[in-house]
Amino acid sequence: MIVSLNEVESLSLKAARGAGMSWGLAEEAAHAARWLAVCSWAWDRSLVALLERRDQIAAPMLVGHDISSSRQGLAICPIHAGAAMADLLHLHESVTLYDVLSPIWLVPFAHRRTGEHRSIEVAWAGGACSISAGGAVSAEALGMQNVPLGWIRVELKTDVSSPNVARPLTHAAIPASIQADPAAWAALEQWAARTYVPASLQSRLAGAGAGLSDND
Amino acid sequence: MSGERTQADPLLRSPDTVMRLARMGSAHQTRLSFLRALLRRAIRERWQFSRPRFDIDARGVGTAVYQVVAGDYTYSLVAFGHDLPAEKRTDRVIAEEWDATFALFDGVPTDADIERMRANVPRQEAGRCLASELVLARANRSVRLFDHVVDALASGAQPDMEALEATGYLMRTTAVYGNGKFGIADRDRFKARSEMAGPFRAEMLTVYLIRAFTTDLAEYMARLRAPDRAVVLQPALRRRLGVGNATGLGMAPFLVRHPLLLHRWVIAREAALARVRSIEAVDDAARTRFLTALASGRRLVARWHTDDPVQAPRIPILAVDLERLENFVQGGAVFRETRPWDGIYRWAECELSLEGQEFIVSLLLEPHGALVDELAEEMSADEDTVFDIDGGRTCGELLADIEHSYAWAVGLNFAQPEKTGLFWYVSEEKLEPRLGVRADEPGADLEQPLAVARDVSELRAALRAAPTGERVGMFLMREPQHRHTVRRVQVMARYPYAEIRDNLIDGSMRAVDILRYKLAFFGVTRFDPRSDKWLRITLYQGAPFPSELGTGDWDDWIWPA
Repeated sequence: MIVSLNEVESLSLKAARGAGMSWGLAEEAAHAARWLAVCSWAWDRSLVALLERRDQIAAPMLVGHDISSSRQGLAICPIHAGAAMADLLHLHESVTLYDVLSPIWLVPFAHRRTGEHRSIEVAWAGGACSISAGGAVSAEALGMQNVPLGWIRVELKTDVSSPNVARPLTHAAIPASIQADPAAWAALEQWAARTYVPASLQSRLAGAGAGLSDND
Repeated sequence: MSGERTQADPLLRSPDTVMRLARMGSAHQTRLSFLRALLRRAIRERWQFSRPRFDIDARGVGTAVYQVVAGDYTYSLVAFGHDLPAEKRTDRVIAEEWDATFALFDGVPTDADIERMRANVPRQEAGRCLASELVLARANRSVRLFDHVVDALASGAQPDMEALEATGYLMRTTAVYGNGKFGIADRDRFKARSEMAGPFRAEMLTVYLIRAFTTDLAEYMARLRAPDRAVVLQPALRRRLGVGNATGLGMAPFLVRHPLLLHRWVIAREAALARVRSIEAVDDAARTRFLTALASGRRLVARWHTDDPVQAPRIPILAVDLERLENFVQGGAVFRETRPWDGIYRWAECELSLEGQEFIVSLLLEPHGALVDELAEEMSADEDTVFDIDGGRTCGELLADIEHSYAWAVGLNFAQPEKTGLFWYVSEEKLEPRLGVRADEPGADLEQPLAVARDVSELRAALRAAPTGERVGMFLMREPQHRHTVRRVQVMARYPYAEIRDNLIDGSMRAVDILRYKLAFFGVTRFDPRSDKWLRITLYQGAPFPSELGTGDWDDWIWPA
């Protein structure tokens, strides 16, 4: 099915919140989902999987400069880890994360730290990818969902000799159409529905606005 | 750049003054309003309007296409007329049928495009659109006026001017959707086009074309009924018809969710006012223009009617304010001083009601298009640029940011029930934003994050308990629930007009104040609150129609003679 980016972001926000994320992290999930949708990557199925597994995913914890799982034996939520990583990259030149589930979600968070002579290099056992100061993402980045649990090192590189390119706010042109998987979309709508308050006659009259009859 | 005005500029009104709901709820349109900026551009760039299709029957059922060539791009309003039984007519978002439904198509639609739209557009939220549609809208007839106008024209007469003015529109839109709703194009897809750069430009263009449809429809139905006798609307009368709108809570969260955009709108307007106030001497032409607008404004206010018990008493006070203003300036003494406009503004600030003061803001900008109109080009924003959180800031610095920007919030005692009397939520039914009374209704556990003052207070308490030197990144790792609030505080630190400086969940909060502020930026001239949660308004009343745009500069169309 074809959807708009606004719908991707709006639904992701509500679904993440409906699954129990705080509003701030739900906003992060929505932003990242939109970013991944522009890449035409299957953000929807991935988000559904993350939300369904939320009891088996841990929040991140800081150990020195490293982001690790706060619960032994459980992998880290990539949204929460991504947000923490983006925050810490204001403080440190590099951050190492351990055992992040579905680490492709880290890419949109890394992306927003690039710009103004800053590029990002990501490395893991057996692979690497990069994001240029201009926001161009190397192809390997979109393969990151296959990175096994383990270490991922994210490093900011500042090169003042490189051109000071304004980072494009959309890292790529928006595809002609944004596709969503209907089953995943429906599952996200179920999560989102948890944020809605069922209507009662009282709320319908009192809470919304226009009365029941508007002939004038 | 409006950035030339810094906080140190004494002529720039402070956020503590302008970002209060009481003043926001007294706002009026100005030259910078979106639909005025749109028409200025349409005239300047000689947009070409046409109506390639008008297949409508005597009941108003059928299809019409209105086209505009605006520079490099063509846009088409595709209008579907329906036969709506009276008992099904409702403005509520929960409606399922309407008198007319619309889509703004990107380009020239083929017959196949129109058939696809015919299968979806009349269903509105229940249908799906594609990125070739930029705006989705629907409208209902004003039962009062529509039939009267058709009857009059069919009998060879013009409709009654008083009846026209009393309502102000033949049809009113009950929703105008943009930016990706229900599958239509995301704004990102077309915002780089120069004619689309202004806020809500596609929506404003859609409503402008809908207006032409509404008058064409009435004239056409009259002609079908009485081909030998029917007349068309006399142009000056026709211009008194705008497009109505029933604006409810759906619009309110927008200002909160777009803090940078709100800041840009406000600072453009305030910078415009500051520029005008700094003018040292006023020439006769500007003075005449001001007085003409004032006279027109007095007539507009004299015709402004609402039954709303809060707004109704404000109108006669505004009328008196404007009379006092006229007396104040009539002698001419103030114009012999330096910075006469500033003198007038300062007098108004002391002497007049908030409605009067804000009306004068509108009047002051009128003569000075050459000085302020360019600010209308700076009212767009990309919230992405303020989304990133600076994790390197310390808790102490963030606390200082709060003390600086949120003093209005931190003094509130949220233990008092009245301070959290309301809660914002989204209803399961048609996914509408609603306001609930916390003590009386269920759903507060599903509260939307619009309780900014309360959330900032909670963040402040948490920051005061944190080590001063702890970095925000670490703090948020420990307390992620404050993330959305931290983001807001960081926006406010750079953009002081980004926040409504009132408690949006206070029991006495009136959502209409938020709605009115946004609508004033749109260019609305008539505000008719029907409760504290929705209002009837009119857009484009007085504006030239597409065929009239080339006949003059129409700069003061919003101030009728």
